[in-house]
Amino acid sequence: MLWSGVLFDIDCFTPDPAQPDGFCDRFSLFSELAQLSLPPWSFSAEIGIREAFAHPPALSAAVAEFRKLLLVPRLYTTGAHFTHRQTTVERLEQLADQGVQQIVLRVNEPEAAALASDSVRHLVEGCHAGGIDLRLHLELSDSFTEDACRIARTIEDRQFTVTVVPVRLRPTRSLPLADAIPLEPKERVHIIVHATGDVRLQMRTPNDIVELTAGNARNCPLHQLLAPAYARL
Amino acid sequence: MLRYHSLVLIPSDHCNISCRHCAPECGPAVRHPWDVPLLERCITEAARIPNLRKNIHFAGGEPFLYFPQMLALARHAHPLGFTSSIVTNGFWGVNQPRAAAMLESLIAHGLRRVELSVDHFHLEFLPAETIRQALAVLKRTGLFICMRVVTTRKHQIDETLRLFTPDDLDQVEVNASGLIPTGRAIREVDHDEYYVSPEGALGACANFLNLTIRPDGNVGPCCAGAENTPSLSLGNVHASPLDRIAQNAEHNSFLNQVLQQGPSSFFDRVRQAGLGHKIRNEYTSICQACSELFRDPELLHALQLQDTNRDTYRANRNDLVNISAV
Repeated sequence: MLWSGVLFDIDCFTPDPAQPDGFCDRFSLFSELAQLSLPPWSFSAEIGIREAFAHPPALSAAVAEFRKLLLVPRLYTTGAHFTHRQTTVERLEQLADQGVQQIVLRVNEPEAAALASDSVRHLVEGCHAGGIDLRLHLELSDSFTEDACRIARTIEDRQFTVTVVPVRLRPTRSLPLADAIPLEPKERVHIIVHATGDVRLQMRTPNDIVELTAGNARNCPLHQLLAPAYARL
Repeated sequence: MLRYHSLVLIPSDHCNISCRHCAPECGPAVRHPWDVPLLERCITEAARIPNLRKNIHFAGGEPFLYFPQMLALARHAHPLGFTSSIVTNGFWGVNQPRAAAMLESLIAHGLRRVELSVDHFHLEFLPAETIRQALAVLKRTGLFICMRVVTTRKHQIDETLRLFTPDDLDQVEVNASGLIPTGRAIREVDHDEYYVSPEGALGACANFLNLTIRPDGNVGPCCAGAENTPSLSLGNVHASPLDRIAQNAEHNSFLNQVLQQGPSSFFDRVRQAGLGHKIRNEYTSICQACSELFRDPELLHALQLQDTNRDTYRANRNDLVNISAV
């Protein structure tokens, strides 16, 4: 199997009273990432999980750390933080200067319903100003809802090309690593680091999402958590 | 050095349908047989081009109308290190067992990606159900699937999306882009439908190049209009080896300005020549600006592009002598 990339919850980098630097800095996670041999030419490092823009200083710090490793971080957003046009444009221009090349607007049905068209327009304009590639991921159940279509049309009105990746919502099955079956040689596994430090290994099947629990990065260096998983899978 | 993402083969403009927006004006009446020996030679030469990513992109026309020929070329290319991709209208979805067999044969010889052209204009000829069937077959193969949607102000992206369910399009990348007024679209699509803007002509395409061979053997630097623009021709594979054509393109200063700085970098020279009225206030894209600027004989004369291109053409003509000798 192959590591397809790693997705960090932005809260991993957020200072809190208990851990002033955020646990990622404290455990030198970034130096461990270098040992995973992630492909630097693809968007193999991601910041979200659903909203990378909730903590601007933490986001800038995280992007800078990824860039030191020559990884190009892809940012996930629900679009909720782009209500003010000028602030959005300036923020995205700064991130572009830092090396961000792609932002994914990822919304499920309730998020699409809550997202104002103006926020989408501000995001498009900010990406345009910064030369950032913007993609739309739609997580839907049975049909393309009116709100999902509205968001796609809003992007199309402002941008000559639009990339949409529809994703059918599917249940997530959590398994302990011991219950995992070996994977095919080129099957891709995504590493997800939650704010709590929990590290999950995610695989998609046609019917569900399988998440294996690898351990907690607060207690153990990431590469040590992943080594047994790599050997087993 | 120019960088090409793929070797795009357009061996024929023959298509089973004739969409109103089609730039090369493909259709059932346009017949060019695929010249497999010539294209095999080109692929062999392409393997020697260092700045070409080793991928063959079959385009057209409808490549699946010539499945045996396409398979023969994929078979030739794969041992040389090439993968392949196809852009198709998906008509073959009606016969799923046969479609699955065709795709498996191609996958065994390097096929990695299929692009389905699906939008209002294609759906005037093909039912959405056929596309659903094609998608179902493609998903079982594990190929990367891209749906290419051409949009206008009247026919926006959601018009196409709504014909499918999220399940149909799960993990399919949908790439929508505005219609460019070239070819049949100029005559058959209302001009009010185009997305145009004052910034449309700004920018350059150096990061989106594809070495493209047309049915007549002409080679272009992209497959978005330049391949049909004689003044942007890099040469002809009937006259020169493809690797030599690519090599000569590196020294073509005119071409390098078009690709690196964009068509708008010529606007000042056009105005200085007193032909500013030929520049539009708004364009759909750099592709429209490029096509219009470099197909207009008066503009070409004013810009003296023939002179700029002389060395490239001379180099390619010399190659004709070399090939004849072989």
